[in-house]
Amino acid sequence: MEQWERFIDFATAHINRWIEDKSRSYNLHLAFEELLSNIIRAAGSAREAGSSPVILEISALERADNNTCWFVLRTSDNGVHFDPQFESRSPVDTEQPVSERAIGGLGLFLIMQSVDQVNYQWKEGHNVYELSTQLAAESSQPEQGSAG
Amino acid sequence: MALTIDVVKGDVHATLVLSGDVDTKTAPELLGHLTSLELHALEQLRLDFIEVDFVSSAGLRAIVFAKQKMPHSSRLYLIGPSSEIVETITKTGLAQAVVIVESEADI
Repeated sequence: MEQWERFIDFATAHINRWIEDKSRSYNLHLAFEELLSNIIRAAGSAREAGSSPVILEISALERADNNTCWFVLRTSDNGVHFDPQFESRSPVDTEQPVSERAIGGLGLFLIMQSVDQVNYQWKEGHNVYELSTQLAAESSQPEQGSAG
Repeated sequence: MALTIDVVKGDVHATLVLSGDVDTKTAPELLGHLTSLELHALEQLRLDFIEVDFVSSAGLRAIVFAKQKMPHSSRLYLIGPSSEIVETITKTGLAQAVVIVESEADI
């Protein structure tokens, strides 16, 4: 957790710079926080099991496709291979009474619910996640950045 | 952002006034305060969120924990959460477990 603030501050600065709408900005921040929490928790478990320290890199970038512009937060880590299977994942049963709720699963559910696109790839020994939010047409083009 | 929590205890109700972010790093502080309460004996738990800027799933889990420990007939009030926090609570289905009010005067 020692780098927690650094990663959060990096993402927050770029989110605030790119996304003006408060609700969309909040939701991307929420998705990133949940993702970072999952990555760091997995890295901690792996390290307790004797694995090497995990290196996490975060990038903020703009992508354009088919006349649509996206702001993308990308993470890449060399931790244990973990595919969250966003495409086939069962949704949290939001109708289930709270008294019967299990504690797990909310984080991944919030990631999926809070951004326009979420992607996962296992690429050259790295877990690569992308959280994408569609930008308004009039958005400017700030510089890219990265932290790791 | 750091989280500060002030606790006011009554016989059958308790109020926690929070200020800051309830995220992965700070939610254990909220859970610690909740654990120290006699949740099973409370008729009301009031969580003052007027000065809370952000709540992650870790914060929601603390709320679920409290509600599960409280009597079935009890009420858990969330006071003054932002529209973004209300949206998060609603889309996770937790709105059924809490009563959301704008201010303490609405209770």
